[in-house]
Amino acid sequence: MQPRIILAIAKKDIVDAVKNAYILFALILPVGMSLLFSFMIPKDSPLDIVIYDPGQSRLVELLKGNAAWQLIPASSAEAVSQRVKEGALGGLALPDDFDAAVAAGKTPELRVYYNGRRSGSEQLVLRQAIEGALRTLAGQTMPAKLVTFDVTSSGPGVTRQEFDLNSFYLVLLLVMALCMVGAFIVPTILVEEKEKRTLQAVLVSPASYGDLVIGKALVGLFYALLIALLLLSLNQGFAGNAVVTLLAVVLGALFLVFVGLLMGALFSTITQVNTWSSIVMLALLIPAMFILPPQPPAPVSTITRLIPTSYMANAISLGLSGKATLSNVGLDLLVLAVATVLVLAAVLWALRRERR
Amino acid sequence: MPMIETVDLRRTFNGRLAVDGVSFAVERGEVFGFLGPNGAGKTTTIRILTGQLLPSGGSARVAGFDCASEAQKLKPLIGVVFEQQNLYERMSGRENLAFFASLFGVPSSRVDEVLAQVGLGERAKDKVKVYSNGMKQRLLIARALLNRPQVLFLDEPTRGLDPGAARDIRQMVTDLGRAGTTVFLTTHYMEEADQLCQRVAFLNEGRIVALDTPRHLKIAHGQRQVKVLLQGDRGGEPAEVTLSLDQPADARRLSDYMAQEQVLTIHSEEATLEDIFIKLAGRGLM
Repeated sequence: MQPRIILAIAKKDIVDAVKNAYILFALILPVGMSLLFSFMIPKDSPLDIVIYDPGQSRLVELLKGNAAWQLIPASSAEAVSQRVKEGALGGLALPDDFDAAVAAGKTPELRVYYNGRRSGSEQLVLRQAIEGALRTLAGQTMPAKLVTFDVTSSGPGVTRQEFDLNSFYLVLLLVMALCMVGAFIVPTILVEEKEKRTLQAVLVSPASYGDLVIGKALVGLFYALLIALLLLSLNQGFAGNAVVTLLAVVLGALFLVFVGLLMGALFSTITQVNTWSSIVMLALLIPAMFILPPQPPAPVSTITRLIPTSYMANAISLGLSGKATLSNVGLDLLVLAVATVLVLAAVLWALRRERR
Repeated sequence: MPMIETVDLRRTFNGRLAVDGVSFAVERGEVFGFLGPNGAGKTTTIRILTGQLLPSGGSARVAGFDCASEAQKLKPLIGVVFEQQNLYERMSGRENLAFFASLFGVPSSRVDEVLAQVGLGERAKDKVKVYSNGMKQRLLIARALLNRPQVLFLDEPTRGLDPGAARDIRQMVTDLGRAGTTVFLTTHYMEEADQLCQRVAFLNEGRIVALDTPRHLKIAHGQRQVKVLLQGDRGGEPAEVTLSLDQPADARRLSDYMAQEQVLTIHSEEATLEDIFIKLAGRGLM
């Protein structure tokens, strides 16, 4: 291996590749999708409850006891309605003699305003909280005590409560971006050289097969990590266990880059790359779609566990959620490392057979 | 020690012999031509000699190194101009050469030297995709000269070029030969081989059917006769006669014609290399 030659190959490709419009598009697409998602999927909004309470009702005190809410006073029922329209989760407009009416056994009207664009689960939680507070205000007690158990909490991966939609999309985007580099960009930069016969010119220079593979791998790794770091920066991806997240990204990028080199070694034309890259990308991306419960049926789950990107997605999701420990990501990272070595060996074999 | 030497070289592709027992040697500083039609095995031979392909049998050595087992050692000593114009089209001429200069470990100043040598100094900054065919070919030669090769392999260097560009390339090859570079040239243009090569080998269906200097080949296989164009009777159409150089009677007739000032032109019936190839291989070059 000659570092000078490896760096020369990598430097040439890093500069030249982006002059290819298809490669440039493949690099920009994940970042563009990230920006699009950030507009389409609002970040977790605080649970603002707007209250119009002219009679200083005890109901409001009971609701304040829940740390999840942020109670915002309003000057009128119309103001409550307006604030809810503007994005608050919900609002209440109480009559000024509400407590007295409840104590007298009357059924006063309590106006609840809700924002239909917020998730149904949030609205359900708000309704249940209001109903609970009303019962307490009326002096009623629950006939039984509820004891809850999360039956999935001992399994691998994260639970839904620990992993929000934004993090799920970030994992998907990361895997997709790395797959695009691996399954499209990397084979393209190798096959283009085969088609244009520039590969021959490189291989009659002092460059060896190993120099070529490492040089192209560096290019893929550069683009993969660049896009990954951009995505993580744009999406608060360094929260949680950033070391594990980055380690999973690096190992996953290496694996996918070598998959791309293997494709580049086996294919002879760009048409073949275009035909197969989307199929390969889809196969690699599918496991990432199942990182959130519910788990897929057993046969599907068995198949996805055979694909190394499922381990990458799991490790990244654990890293982002802050739940990563050596015991729960060690196996994922080991599988990725072994898969990377195996694919690298296949790449060198495929390139050397061209000389025979 | 010959700069290029093959002994019973063979290469098969899917059971078909592309190179079939080829043996030859090229001395230092020689311009050697490998002639034959498409599919004769010329490019396969070059690929073996430059370490791109392993032979199926026999041996090949370049600059003292075995092409199969010591390919990495001979690469710094050779330059190759491929049959196809394999340049990075999105890069400029200078960027193309700078990249290969870094692969060979030669200083960047060498890039300017070879650009000047091939006459591309003023167009160095232009993207290769706007170069003409002739300019691309010159750039390919410049690339092959970056590392001051001991052996230069040229695979059909003038193919597809206009006459002016082809002439420029041939002049470059002549200059390289005079400067002492060993040149291994493949072509199916016989007049090019005749002009440039000190020795030529005819390759047909993977085998060498003749190997000698062009002059010896022509003498050995040509016809010893001349065609003489004579003035027509009383201003009529000129008449052509063929006279043998081996017949005393024909020699006297030529002498008489010249004494009578009847001779307009005399041409020897020297065989062309193409005629010789057809005679030996039983087929033409195209």
